[in-house]
Amino acid sequence: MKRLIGLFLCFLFLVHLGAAFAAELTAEEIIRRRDHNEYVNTASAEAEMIIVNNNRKTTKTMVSYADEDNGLVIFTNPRDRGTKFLKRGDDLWMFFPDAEELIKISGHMLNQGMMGSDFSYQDIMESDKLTDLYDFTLLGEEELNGRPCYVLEGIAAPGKEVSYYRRKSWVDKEKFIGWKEELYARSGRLLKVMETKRIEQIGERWYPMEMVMEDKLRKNTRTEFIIKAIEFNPEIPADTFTLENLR
Amino acid sequence: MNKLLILTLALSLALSSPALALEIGGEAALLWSGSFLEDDFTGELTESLELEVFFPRWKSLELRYNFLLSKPLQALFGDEEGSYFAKKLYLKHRGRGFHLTVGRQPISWSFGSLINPVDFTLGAEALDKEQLSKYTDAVEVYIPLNWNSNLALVLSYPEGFIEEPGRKKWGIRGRTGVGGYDLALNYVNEGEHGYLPRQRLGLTLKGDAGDFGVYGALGLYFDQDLPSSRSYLAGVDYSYNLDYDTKILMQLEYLGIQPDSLEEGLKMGLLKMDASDDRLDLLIGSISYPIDYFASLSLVTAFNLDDGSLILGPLYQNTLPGNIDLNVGATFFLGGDGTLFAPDPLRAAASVELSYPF
Repeated sequence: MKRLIGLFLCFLFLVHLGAAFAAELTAEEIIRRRDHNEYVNTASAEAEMIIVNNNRKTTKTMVSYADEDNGLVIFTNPRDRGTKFLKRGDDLWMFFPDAEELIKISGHMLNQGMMGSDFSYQDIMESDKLTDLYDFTLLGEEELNGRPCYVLEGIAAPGKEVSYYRRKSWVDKEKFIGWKEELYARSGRLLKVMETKRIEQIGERWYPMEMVMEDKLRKNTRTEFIIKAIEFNPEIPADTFTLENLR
Repeated sequence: MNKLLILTLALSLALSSPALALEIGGEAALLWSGSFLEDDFTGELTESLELEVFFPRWKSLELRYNFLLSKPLQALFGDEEGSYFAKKLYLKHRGRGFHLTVGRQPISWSFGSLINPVDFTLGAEALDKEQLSKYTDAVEVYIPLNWNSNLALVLSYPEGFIEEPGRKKWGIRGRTGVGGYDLALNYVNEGEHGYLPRQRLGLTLKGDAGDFGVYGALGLYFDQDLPSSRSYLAGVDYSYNLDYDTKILMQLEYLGIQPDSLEEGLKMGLLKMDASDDRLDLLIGSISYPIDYFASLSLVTAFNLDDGSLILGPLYQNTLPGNIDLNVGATFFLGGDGTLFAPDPLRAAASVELSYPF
């Protein structure tokens, strides 16, 4: 009987220890775990972008490839069919299919809405880990849409060029996925809110499959980004991220 | 002509059958255009259909077919004459270490400027949307050297290989990236041509300087019977953030051509306009304001610093419900008689276009 009581006490102790350990995760550890889920080293995907403005809606479809600092997006919907974007490091190139022209896009365009959406080129093609770009602090815990979340605040790390100076993130306490993100300018003004609508477990990681970005400076607008299919660590041909492949 | 149009359409639709795994895409457009002359006005309604057949790639081979039918309905049901123009009908072989493209294809050496004085085919893109002359019968060999360096060799038949195989033109272009800048050097030999200098050498550069995009070009034109001439282009582009939300995109460039330029040829080639001036100093600019996701307002302008003449081209674009594009544009030619941009008797032009991509 004493052994049973001892085991029970040990079990309680371990449960308590585990809970205490989970509660004592640092902001950096939480974001590191989130990066582990959401940061993509190498991937290929098919996605759909739905741009909504009041009652009007337009849909763009694309296939994309990512490999560390390089990205390639190829649009497949009728209006933009064949338009391609190549990102190599900080360089962005665009292929215009009609005249088959290949133009280097100026750096200031990276903050423009990609193909008229609420996602900037930087949002779509930014490949750095959040832990590399921001210094995070843990603000507390909240429940969001029935999920327990850590609430964190990230401030751009000194010397890092980022699209948004500050971001407030709601990160799932169990799945370590970002459910919501508020993106702020340096002035403190709220620019955009991104919410994850659906996540999926792919292999060992959870990954956001449907996201909605709202530009808070515009009324009644939003862009939905839906991943139709994604493959992690596929074999991507060596010449994928070259100008040669854009033509 | 009517039979050809019908046959073309029928063939295209037949080819797009799912059994052959082909797809067809394109754009149908209805355009009204009007010209305001000194004491007259003319207007015209034109419909067009552009179709592209998407063939599946077969091993290293890729077949592209893209054509434009002008006035197909008026040709079928009225007395108007329609026209067919193949923009692309080529076969591309993507070999190891080179690409070979044979057939009708676009040859464009654009690098991001509004006007490119050293393009393979000269023409002011900002002032002339339909650059059909860029689509030419040609053989192109493209040799990639690394991810952003390559060499392109082009032999083209500007009047068409079948129509006039004797008239040849050739060029070579090397492109590379240096310190974040896109750098290209090219040479074009026009062969026998009525008004263009026979040979030209061009250098283009594009990159970033802080928050600005900067670019430039240098052109050297020479002909055995005439003194050589030069062109200089320097430009800048910038996004101005209006309250974080609206980004106004601006581009401004200067184009100068040396006073002893080769007769009227260069101006004809670049601007498709005649002028009596013996020099050319232009400021060309564009500004674009996005009204919302679907609509934008833009203005393209060209100002001749030598004679004070000006072109103003406002354009309103909107994607209407149903995925229909509406473009309403105008062009105003301002200046005295005989100036570059105020060709007598044309004073202004306007256009309204509805188009549907599919």
